[in-house]
Amino acid sequence: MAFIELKGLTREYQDGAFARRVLDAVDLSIAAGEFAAITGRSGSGKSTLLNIIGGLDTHYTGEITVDGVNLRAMGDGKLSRFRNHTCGYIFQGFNLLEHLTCLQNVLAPAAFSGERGGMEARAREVLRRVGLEDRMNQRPRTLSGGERQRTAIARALLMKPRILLCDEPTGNLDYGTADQILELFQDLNRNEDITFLIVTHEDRVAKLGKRVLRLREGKLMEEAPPQ
Amino acid sequence: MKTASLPALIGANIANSKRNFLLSSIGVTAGVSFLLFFSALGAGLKAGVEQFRGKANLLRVTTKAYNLPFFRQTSSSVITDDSLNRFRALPGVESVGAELDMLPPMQGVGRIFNLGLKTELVATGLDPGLVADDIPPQFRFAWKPDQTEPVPGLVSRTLLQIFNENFASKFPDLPRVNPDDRDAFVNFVLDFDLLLNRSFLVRSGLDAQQIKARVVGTSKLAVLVGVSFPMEFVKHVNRQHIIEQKRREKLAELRQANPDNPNVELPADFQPGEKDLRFSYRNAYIKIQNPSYLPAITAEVESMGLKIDPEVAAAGRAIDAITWVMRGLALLIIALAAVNISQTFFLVLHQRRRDFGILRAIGASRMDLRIIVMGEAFLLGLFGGVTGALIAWLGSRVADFLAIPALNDLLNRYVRQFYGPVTVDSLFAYDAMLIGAGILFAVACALTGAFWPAQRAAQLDPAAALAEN
Ligand SMILES: Nc1ncnc2c1ncn2[C@@H]1O[C@H](COP(=O)(O)OP(=O)(O)OP(=O)(O)O)[C@@H](O)[C@H]1O
Ligand SMILES: [Mg+2]
Repeated sequence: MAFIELKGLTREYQDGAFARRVLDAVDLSIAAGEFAAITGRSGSGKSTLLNIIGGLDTHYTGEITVDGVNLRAMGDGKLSRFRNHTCGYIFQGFNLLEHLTCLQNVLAPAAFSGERGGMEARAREVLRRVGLEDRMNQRPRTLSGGERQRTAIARALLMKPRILLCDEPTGNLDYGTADQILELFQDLNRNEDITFLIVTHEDRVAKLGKRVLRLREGKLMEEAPPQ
Repeated sequence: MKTASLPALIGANIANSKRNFLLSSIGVTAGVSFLLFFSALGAGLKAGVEQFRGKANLLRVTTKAYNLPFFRQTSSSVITDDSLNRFRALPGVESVGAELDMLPPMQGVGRIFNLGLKTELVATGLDPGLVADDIPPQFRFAWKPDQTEPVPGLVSRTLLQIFNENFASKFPDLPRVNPDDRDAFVNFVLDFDLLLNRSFLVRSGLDAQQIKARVVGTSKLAVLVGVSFPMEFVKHVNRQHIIEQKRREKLAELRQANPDNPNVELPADFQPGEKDLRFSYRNAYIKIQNPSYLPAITAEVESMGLKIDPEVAAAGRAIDAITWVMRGLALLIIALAAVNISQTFFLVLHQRRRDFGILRAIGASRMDLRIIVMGEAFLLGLFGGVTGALIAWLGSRVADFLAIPALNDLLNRYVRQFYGPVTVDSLFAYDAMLIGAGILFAVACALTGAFWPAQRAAQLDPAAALAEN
C-alpha cells in the first residue's frame, strides 16, 4: 500500500459568491522514500496541496491517508501530533521565529512533542547535520538566506519525520546555495529514508525528482522528469 | 534559555515583548496595590479599634447610638436605678456606676494665680466608686448635705491638655499641670465658685446660688469640658432644681386659674410627684472582671435597648463601609485592567498571526496555542499582582512613617484618658490570605481578559496565516 494516498481530493475556496475549485478530485499515490516534485503555474494550488497533505488545511473533500491512517479521522490534537512527529515543513520564506535563536528555533517543535530530555542534544545533532554548529546562538536576522533555510531544515528534522513537505525551498536562494540545499535533500532522502514532496518552479529541482507531478486546472498529471 | 517546553516558549514570548507586557500589567499592578493597601488599612484600623476595646474592662452603657450633634439617635430606653441593678446581677460584672447630668445652667468663677476666669460650665455627677483610683489620699470624693468644705470635682485629661496648651503657654506665670499625675492638685490648689442658675446662654429664672468647689484630680470619666462632682451632690442639686421648677410651674398655674386673686399662694405642703423626681442617667459604667465577658454582657445590655460603647461599634462599621467602597474601586480598576489586557492581546494577535501559523505548522495544537496565550496572561497577572502587593506594602510603610508619630500623639491626647497609654506601630494589617487573594484575583482577571484572544488564536487558520508573508 502507498505511503501517501489521495483519493478524489477536492478543495474549493469561497470567493465571494463563487466557489473556486483549486483542487479537483485529485488522486495520488506516493511510496515511502520517494522524491517527488510538484510543479505548476502560480496559483495552480501547489501550496494548497502540500498544506492538506501536512494536515494544516482540513477544508477538503475526498480522502487522504498517510501510512495507512486517514487524516480526516484525526482530531486537532492527533493531527497536530502528526505534523509534529511525521512531517516537516520547509517554506520558501523560511518561517523562522525571529525572537528565538537558531538553536531555540530548531528546538521549538519539542515543546509540542510531549518528549522531555535529550531534545537539546538532538537539536545540536541536526544543526551539525546541516552544517550550522557554529551559528546556534544567532538570531535569524543575523543569518544568511542559506543559513536560515538550513535552520528551517534542521527544525524540520528534529522530530525525525517520515516526510518533508517543501514549498519552493530554494526560491529565495542564489544558485550555489540552492545547490547545497538540494544536495542535502538528496542525502536525507537516500540515507534517512525521508519521503520528499517538493513544490518547485525550477526544472533543475524537478530534475532531481524521480517523479514530476504537474498541477493544472485542479488536476494532477504525471510528467516525465525533465532531461 | 531552552525552548523544549511550553513554559520556555511563553517565557521567550514575554521576553520578546517586554514593553507590552509591562504596559498591560500596569493596570493590574495599580488595582492590586489599591486593593491590598486599603484592605490592609481597613483591617489594621479595625484591629486597632478591637485592641482598644479589648483593653477596656470598663464599659460605657448609653442610650444613644451616635453622640454627634445634629445626629443623635436616641432610643426609647433610659438608664434608671433599675437598669443599674440589672447590670449588677450580670455574670462577670465587678461593679456598676452611673453618670448624671447636672440640670441647672451654671458658671464657674475662679482665679488661677492672677488670672481671673469666668466660664460657662457643664457638670456631671459620678458614683465615687467609679473614680476611687483617681482621688489622691488627701481628698475624699464625697458630699454630705451639711458639708462646709468645698465640693470636690474632677476634670478630664483633655481639659488639662487644653489648659496647658492654650493658657499656660500664653501666660508664663501659669503652672502646667501634668495630666498623668494623680496628685497634681495636691499642691496646686484650684478652688472656684459654682454659680448655679447663672448663664451667658440661657435664662434660668431661678435664684442664683453660689457653692464653693475644688478640683481634686483628673479622671477619664470626668466630663470632657467641664467638671464632674460626686453623685450625691448632683442628685441633691437636681432635686432642688426640679422642686423649685415645679413649684414655680404650679404657682403660675394657680395664678392663671385665679386671675382676680393676686395673692394666691402655693399650699404649704406642695411637693412634686415622685415621678418627676426620678432620675435617668446619662451613662452607666460597668466594670467587668475581664474582657471575655464582653460579648455576653453586650448582648444582655442591647436586649434592654441600650448600647455599649456605640462609638467603637460605629467606628468599626464606618471602617468596614469605607474599606468596602475602596475595595469596590480597586476591583473596578482590576476589571478595567482585564479589559485593557483583552484589547492589547487582540491587537498583538494580529501581529503574531505568522508566529502562530509557524507554531501550528511545527506541531502546536489549538490547545497548545490557548495554553501559550493564557500562560502569557497568567504570568502577566502574577507579575502585576506581585508588584502590586509590593507597592501596596511599600506604600503602607511610607504612610506609617508619615502618620504614625502624629497618630500616637493624637491617641495620647484624646484616647489615652479612656483606654490608658496606647501606641500604634502600624495602620495596616497584612496577612497571607489577603495578599494571596489579591494576587489570585489579579491572575483571574488577566486570564479572563486573555480568554477570548486565546480562543481567537486557537481558531486561526494556519494555512492562511502562513500564506500571508
Ligand atoms: N485562503 C485563501 N482564500 C481564498 N483563496 C485562496 C486562499 N489561499 C489560496 N487561495 C487561492 O487558491 C489558489 C491556489 O493557491 P496556492 O497558494 O495553492 O497556489 P500556488 O500554486 O502555491 O501558487 P504560487 O506558485 O504562487 O505559490 C490561488 O488562486 C489562490 O488565490
Ligand atoms: Mg505556493
